Amino acid sequence: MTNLIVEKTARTPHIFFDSEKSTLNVQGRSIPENSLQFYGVLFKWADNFYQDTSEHQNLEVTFKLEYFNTSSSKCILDFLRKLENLKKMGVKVKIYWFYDVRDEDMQEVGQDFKEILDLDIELLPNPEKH
Amino acid sequence: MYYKGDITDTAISLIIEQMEASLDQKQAPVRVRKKIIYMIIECLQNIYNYFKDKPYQKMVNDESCLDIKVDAYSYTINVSNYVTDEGSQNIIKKIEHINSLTSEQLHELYLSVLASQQVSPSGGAGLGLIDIARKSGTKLSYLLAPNANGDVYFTLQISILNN
Repeated sequence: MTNLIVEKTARTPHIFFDSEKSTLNVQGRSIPENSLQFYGVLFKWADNFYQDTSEHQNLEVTFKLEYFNTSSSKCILDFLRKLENLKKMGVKVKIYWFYDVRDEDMQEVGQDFKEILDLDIELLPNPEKH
Repeated sequence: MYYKGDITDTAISLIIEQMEASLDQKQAPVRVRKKIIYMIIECLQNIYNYFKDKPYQKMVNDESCLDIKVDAYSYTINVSNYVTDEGSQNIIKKIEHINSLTSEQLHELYLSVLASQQVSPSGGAGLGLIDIARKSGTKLSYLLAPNANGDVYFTLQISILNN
């Protein structure tokens, strides 16, 4: 697979997939008017990964989000479901969910995703200040 | 902060920017600041999505309003816009159901809607009011003011405790 870079905007996060390291980072704000359109890029990326991948490959996905609207939270869940499918194929998927220690809501959302999904999700306090 | 007028994409960006600057100036705690910005985004995008496919209603969108007040104990966010009478009844039903739930029941409802509902083409996820109630930690209030055309000026009132 090739690298994927989506530059951040005032409403959407920076996305970077490093194909050499097999790491995907999603960082910033996610408050687009049209979340389906924005997250379509990640849905497509996950589908391509599904087609190109081999068993036992590792994939690390890191979320460092500042704010997101409810339609983004639904799209992130749908994206994570695609990663669940990768796990079922034999890909070793690890999710890092960073939160600001002063922001219990962001921690709680990560916890909610852990409850809903069969994925290895680690919640980590983010040392960076927003 | 007070804004009255058409809720456009540009207006939402400006309001967020100004509110962030104001909260920084007041040195609001980060958890309060994030909740307020979140509520504003959610409410204004909801109005934007409500009106975006109804260009003939631009006149009534011009009456949309955001009013934020702060005292020693809380921030109060009032968000108002015109909706149809039927639309207002649907919102009231949702609010009254949400207000009848304990925080644990509200969490369960949130998880079940999050896990089951699809994002609609208009951008809604059916989670807005549920998540606003969860994050505010207080009961939602509303006011209704019907007009002569049969529409209702609906105000959603959200309180966020200051500590």
